[in-house]
Amino acid sequence: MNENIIEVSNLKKKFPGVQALKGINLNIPKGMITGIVGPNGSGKSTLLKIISGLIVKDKGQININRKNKDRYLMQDIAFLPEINHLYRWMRISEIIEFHEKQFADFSTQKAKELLDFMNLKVEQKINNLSKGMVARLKLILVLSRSAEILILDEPLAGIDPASRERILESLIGEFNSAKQSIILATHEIIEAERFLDHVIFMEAGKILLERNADDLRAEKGKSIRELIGEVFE
Amino acid sequence: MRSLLSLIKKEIKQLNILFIVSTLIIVVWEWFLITRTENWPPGLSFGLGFIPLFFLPLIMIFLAYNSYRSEWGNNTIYLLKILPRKGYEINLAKFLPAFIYYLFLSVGLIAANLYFHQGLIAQILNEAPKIIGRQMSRQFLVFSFLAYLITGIQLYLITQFSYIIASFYNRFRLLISILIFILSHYLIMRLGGFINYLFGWLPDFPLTVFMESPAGVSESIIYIGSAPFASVLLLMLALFFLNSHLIATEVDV
Repeated sequence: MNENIIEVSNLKKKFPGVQALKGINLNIPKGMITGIVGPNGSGKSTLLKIISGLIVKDKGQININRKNKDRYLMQDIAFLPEINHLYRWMRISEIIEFHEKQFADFSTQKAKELLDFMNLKVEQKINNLSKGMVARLKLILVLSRSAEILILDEPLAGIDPASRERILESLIGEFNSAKQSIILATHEIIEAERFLDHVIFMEAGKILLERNADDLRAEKGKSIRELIGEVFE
Repeated sequence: MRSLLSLIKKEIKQLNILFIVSTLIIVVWEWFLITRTENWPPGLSFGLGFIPLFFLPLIMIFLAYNSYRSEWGNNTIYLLKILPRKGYEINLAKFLPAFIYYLFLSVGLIAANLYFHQGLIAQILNEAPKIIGRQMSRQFLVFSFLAYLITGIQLYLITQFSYIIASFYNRFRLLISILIFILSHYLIMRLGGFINYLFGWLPDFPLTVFMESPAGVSESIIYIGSAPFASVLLLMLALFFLNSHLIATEVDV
């Protein structure tokens, strides 16, 4: 049986006028790619942001590697937010240098290789990059780290199909299941489905279903994409 | 240390336009006044030369208010918060460039004014009772400058605190910031009064003063309490760490 890298119990979060998470309980298995799927406003991003330490939980507990997250070293989590969180006045070379100095596990060599693969040039200014290029750059910055947990919030949102394919290819190419675990929130289930080992369905701040992807497909005789309609009915 | 320096470098690059533009404006203003020294009444250009000192604290308020506001506005707060850095490191990287800018510009401004108006200063000293020497003017300058520096630090940290507290609310953030800014000054004044007693053991600063009476000029020494300076500095240190803690662990992106 797989060990869990993250265990969440009774997690609650309220924003003005909305209960974003209503007592979430879930386990994220180690060494796997876990996909969190759900409609807008289901609480996926909130959950990932709380795990990453970007927002404060109201109630509940999060254990990472069996340690309480509040005491866990956040340097072992690489988070990719949905929005462009990079300094736009920087050049790609500067943001890489900045990451290299901030994260002990960042590899400039790996970043350069990924830049070549993703057709980006170090002298380009972030402000001048297209949405797809920014998405690729964000992913390069995350994949160039050897963090134990990669948390990716909608890495494919608003990206053209060619770039999506390239992003997923590099994601899977760089993933080391012996050392890493990936948690991925996405709407783009068609492209992402083939890579998912574990799936969590979320709606209105609750977990509707959480299962091993292969077991689920075998049990229901349907793909995850087909199951979405059924689960969220 | 490497990571802190990289953060400081990033802050300086982010602020360099403001630093360059405001420094240029001050230099041009001072240069203009120096060229007018001969034409204007004595002392006018010397007095006007200190006007930028009143604007520098306002720049500190602007820098503090924008220190995190710009991060939220550009979504770069995500990047700051996922860095494996302690809150005080992130806050120190924001504070240091602003403070060094404030320090260097004010020292430069005072030094330039004193240097370019040496004739006028010598004249003032000559007209004063002879016994008043350079020592008194130097002591006075040092105390005033120390108070000026503390004012800059206090304005920066209180403004930053006001913005952080306001960011917990979704509406009326500017109004909340202003209210917190005013209240914090009052609280620091009151708290400072209590904390003063803790520093009663610190030696006071001696200041030589001269008094003129019909009998002549007499010299005496008055003492300025160092406890208020120490208590304000302690409160500022506490506020710095409070701001750092709030940013690192309490505020949502």
